[in-house]
Amino acid sequence: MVLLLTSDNEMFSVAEDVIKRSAYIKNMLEDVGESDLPIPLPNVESNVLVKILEYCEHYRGEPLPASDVDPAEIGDRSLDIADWDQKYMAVDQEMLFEIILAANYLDIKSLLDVGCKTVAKMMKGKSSEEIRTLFNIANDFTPEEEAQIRKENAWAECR
Amino acid sequence: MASASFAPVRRGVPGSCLSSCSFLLGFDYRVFLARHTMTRDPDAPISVHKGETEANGPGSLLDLPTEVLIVIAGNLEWNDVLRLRKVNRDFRKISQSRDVWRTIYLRYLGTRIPRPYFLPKPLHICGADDLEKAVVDWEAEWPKVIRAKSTVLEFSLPGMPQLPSEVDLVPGGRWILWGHSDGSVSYSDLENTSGNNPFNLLISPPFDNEEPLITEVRLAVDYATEQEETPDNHHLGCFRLAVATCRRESLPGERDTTQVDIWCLEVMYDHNGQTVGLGVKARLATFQAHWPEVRSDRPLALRGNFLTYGAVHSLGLPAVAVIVDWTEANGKMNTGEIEQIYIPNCRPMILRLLPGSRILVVHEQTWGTIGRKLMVYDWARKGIRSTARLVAEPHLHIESLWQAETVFFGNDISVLSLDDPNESIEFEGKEGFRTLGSRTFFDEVSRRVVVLDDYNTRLVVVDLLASTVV
Repeated sequence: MVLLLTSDNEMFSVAEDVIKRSAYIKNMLEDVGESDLPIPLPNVESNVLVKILEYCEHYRGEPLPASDVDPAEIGDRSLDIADWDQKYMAVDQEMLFEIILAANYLDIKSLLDVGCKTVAKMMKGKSSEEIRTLFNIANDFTPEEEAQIRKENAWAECR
Repeated sequence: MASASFAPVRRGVPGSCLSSCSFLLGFDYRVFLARHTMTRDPDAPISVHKGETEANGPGSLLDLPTEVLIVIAGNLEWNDVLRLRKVNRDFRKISQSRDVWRTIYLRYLGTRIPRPYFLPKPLHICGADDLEKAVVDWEAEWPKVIRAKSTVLEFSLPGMPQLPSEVDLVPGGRWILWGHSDGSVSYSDLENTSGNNPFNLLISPPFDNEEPLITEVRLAVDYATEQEETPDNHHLGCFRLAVATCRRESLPGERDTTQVDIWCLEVMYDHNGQTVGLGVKARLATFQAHWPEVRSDRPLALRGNFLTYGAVHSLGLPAVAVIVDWTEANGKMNTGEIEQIYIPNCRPMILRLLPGSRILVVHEQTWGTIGRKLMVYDWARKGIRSTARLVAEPHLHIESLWQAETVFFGNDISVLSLDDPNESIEFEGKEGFRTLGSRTFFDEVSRRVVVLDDYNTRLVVVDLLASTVV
C-alpha cells in the first residue's frame, strides 16, 4: 500500500498497482523504494484525488502506456471517448479542470488525454463568442487588435 | 445540497489556514482505503468528496498550464483553432503554437490519402506559421470564382519575345521549369526575377551539333514517385523529369530522332530550410527513339518506371497511347528493340499514369460529338505488347476499366479550368492578355496558377489564396 497526503491533509492508502498509473508516483516509488512515509501531493485536493483514484481503479490491470511517446504520433487522435470515460468526465467545469490539472501533475497520460479531448469536444464548432460565454472568458483585445485579427483571419473565413 | 451536509468542518476554511491548523492539531488522518480493498473508513463516505470545490481551485479554463491548453487545441480542427484565436490574448498565443499545428498536421496526414501536403521545408525546421499555412491552405474550401487581383508577377522577356512553351510550376509555387526548344531545361525563381537572365540552366541541350537543328521539346514531370519512396519526407525533396527532344530531319526519307532523358532533380535547401534552387541529382536513363510525335500539342507523361506518349497516324491525329518502361529502354538507340505497350484506337489529348498500372486517357473530340471522353485502362493486363509500331490499327480494341462520356472541361485536367463557366479567373487590369486557357499550370500546394498567353509572350502568376472570392 502507498500512502498519499493531499493538500487538504487527507491521507489515502492505495494499492501500489492502482496508483502506478501515475508515472509521477511510479517513478517516485522506484527512486525511493519501500517507505512508510506518505507521499505529499500539495497540488491535489482530496475530492479530486477520490476522482483520480476512481479512474485508476477502473483501469487497474490494463497495461500502462509507453512513456516518451510523442502525443502527435499516436494513431487515434479522433475525439472519440470511451463510454465509461464520458460518464466519468460528466462533472462540472471546475472539477473537470481539477482532474486535468491533477492528471498533468501526477502524469497520468491517458487521463490527461481524455480530459483534453473532453474540453476540445466542448469547444468544437463553437464561435469565439460562444467559447467566451461557455468558459467565462473576458475579451481582452483592444479594438485595434480585434480589427487586426479580423483582417488576418478574413481570407480563411470567407472560404 | 446533500453533499453540503456531509462536508467536514475543516472544509470551507481558506486554504492556507486549513493546512496550518491541521499541522497544529497533528495530522488528522482519515485514511481513505481505495475501494478495491473493500474496506472503507466509515467516517469518510465518498459522497463527502463529490462536487466539492475550493475557493482556491482553478475555476477557469485559462488556469490550466499552457502546455495542457496546447494539447487541448491540438485535438481541435483547423477552423476551431482559427476561431479560438479570436477569443482572447492567451488563446491567440496558443493558436500560434507550433505544437498545435504540428499535431493537427500529423493527424490530418494520417487520415488523408493521397497525402496532399508538401511542406515548404523539412518538418523539423517548419515553424508554426509554415504548418498552419500547409493545413489551412489545403483544408479550406476551394473558391469557385476568383477575381484575380493578386497577380504575383508578370513574366515577359524584352529581348526574346517568345517564352518557351514548355512550362511547369514546381509544387510550392516558387520555381518555374522551362523546356527550351533546343531541349535544354532551365528554371526561374519567381521570388527573384530581377536578374538579367531569368533562366538558370539545369540541363544542356542533348544534341551537340554545330548545324542549326530544328528541334522540339516536351517535358513530363513526376512528383509522386520519389515522394512515395520517402514517406517520412513531407517536403518536396526530389522529383523526376522526362525530357523528350525531337530532332526534325530536313532530308526526305530520314526519320526524326527523339532523344529521351529521365532526370532526377532535387530542390536544394540551406541549413535554415530555405530553398535555394533546383539542381540535377542524377540522370536515370537515356535512350533514342523514332518518335515524330514529340510536339507541344501531344501528351507525354511520366510516373514510376513508365513513360507514356500519344502517337499519330497518317492523318496527323493522335491515335494510340504508348507506354514504355524507360528502365528497359535505357541505353538503347532505337525503341524498336524493346517492347512497348499500346492502348489502340484512342485519340489521347491528355495522358496520366495512375498508380497500379492504370492509365487515364482523355480523348480528343471527334466530329459530331460534344464534350470529351475519359477512359481508364489497366494497361498491364489489357494493353497490347509489341515491338512493332502499332500506330494506326483500327481493328484493335481493348476494354476499359471505366469511362465517362461527354465531359466538359478545359484543356488540362486540374482542379481549375479556365473555360468552365463556373470556375473562372478574371485578370484585373490585364487588358490585352488573351488566353483560351490552353496553357494553364496549377499548383495545388501553393494554389498559384501560372497562365501563359496564346502567343507565348506573357506569363502571369496568380495567387488564388490572396484573391478575391466572388
